[in-house]
Amino acid sequence: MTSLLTQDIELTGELELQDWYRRSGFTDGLPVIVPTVERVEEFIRNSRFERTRRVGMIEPALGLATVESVAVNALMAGCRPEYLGVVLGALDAMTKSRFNLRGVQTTTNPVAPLTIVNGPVGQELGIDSGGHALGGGPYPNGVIGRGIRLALRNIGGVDVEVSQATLASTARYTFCLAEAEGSSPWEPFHVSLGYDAEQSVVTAVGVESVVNVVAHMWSDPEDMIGQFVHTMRAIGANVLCGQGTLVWVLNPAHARFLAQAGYTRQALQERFFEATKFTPEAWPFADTTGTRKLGNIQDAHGWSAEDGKVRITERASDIYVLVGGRDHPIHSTYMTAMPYSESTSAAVWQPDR
Amino acid sequence: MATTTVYLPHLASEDQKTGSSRAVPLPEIPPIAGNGFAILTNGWTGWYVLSDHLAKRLKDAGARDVFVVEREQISNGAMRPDDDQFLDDLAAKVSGAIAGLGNCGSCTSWSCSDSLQLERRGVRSGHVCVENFKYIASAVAKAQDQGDHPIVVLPPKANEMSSDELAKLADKILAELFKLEPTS
Repeated sequence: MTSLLTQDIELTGELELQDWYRRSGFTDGLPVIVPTVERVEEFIRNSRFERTRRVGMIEPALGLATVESVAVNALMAGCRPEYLGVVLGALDAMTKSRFNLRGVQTTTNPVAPLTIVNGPVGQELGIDSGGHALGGGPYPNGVIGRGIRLALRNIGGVDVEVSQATLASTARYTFCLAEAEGSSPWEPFHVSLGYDAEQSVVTAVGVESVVNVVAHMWSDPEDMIGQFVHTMRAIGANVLCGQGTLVWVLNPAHARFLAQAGYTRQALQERFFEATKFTPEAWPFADTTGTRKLGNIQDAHGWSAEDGKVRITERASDIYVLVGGRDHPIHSTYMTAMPYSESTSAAVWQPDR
Repeated sequence: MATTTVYLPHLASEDQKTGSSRAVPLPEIPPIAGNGFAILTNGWTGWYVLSDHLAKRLKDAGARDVFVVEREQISNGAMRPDDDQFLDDLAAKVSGAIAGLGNCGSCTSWSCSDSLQLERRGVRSGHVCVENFKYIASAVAKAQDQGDHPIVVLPPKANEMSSDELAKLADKILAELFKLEPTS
């Protein structure tokens, strides 16, 4: 027995069926694999998951995500059955209250949930951590991220009116990468969160925007850090209104350079945290959201700095430092955060049989 | 023509809310005189001004207490999960509540949720949002099986209006939520 809804459609061609899903509001506008009963049943069977396992409630519709309802969306996105554990793990993370999925799904912010994959599953599935981690390559990143996104949309009841993003973001089609653990001078990122290196873990972050940072004219690590800090203090970053998780994806060359200079991941996080504090007077506007002064907002949260400076995150550990991308010593990537959405992690789901 | 049977990408029945059923009875509208009221704010400048007008009107009409509550006091953040204990305490002190302002996507969904949570605690509560975000407020109410929850819709630029204009909106809100007749 299943609680999935079936529908009989008097259309037979694949293109017509795809368009029926688009017109019904079940897609991101791109073609989907049509989830016929036969295809879904085969997908669930091959995934080896128990179909009634519950993931959580997807805001704002409070739709129940189960293995079978997520599987339909994963299949539509183009996932293979073996990818389902990552999709389920990501949704598991995103339905934790600290992630604030209700806000993420309805905000005017362009936020897109990023899925970071760590542990053996990255290599097992071939999830890219290199030059195509965020797009364009023949890797599972695209369909895994899209499967997560379609599940958030369809199970969470996010139609074009519920999603109030001002201009949205192409990251809302798909947004999934693996950390380049083999190229990192530091322990895998998920180990810094308390997981074992052999665990496969997904971490969700509500990312507002992706910023490329060119840093190739350096000979001193402090110069490079200064350039990074300058980017992090960019006026207008929404994280200044409240808590959020910032993400650096340093290319392996940049990471090695900083590690050779003695920086551990934690030391780099603390360096970023201290160097990005600034006095409210440096803020060129009276208000941030047209409401209240910046310092007052952080006072309200109870985490204004004792030295009178405001912070771009509540804690140094909110500044994630990952390693990824090609081993070229030029570009690294910084991701700003949606305020009031804190990063969450969960284990990649393991099949039941 | 041949028929293809497909799955829809979500579950059926009780797992997808329609708002047609009601999780809790809608509390009766309380008389203003002698009762306590709460006004929940979330940082929008115009809503602060509007809250002052609402509080004054309620007190002039004989309200026993009017608590103007910052959303941050509820949950350490304008768009964070509800603080059940705070809402419990507030619900014990008031018979009516107004939660606003829905003037962006996530602040609408969270302030509407506050209003719904207070209603579940027996408080006659209503949400206030601007026109642009009424769809979200309605969707959130339906998802919690409180689809007929009172929602007052203001003009799109309510947050930018003058104090005199906002005073008129205060009359509109109180008339819709608590049947309090305008003063003039």
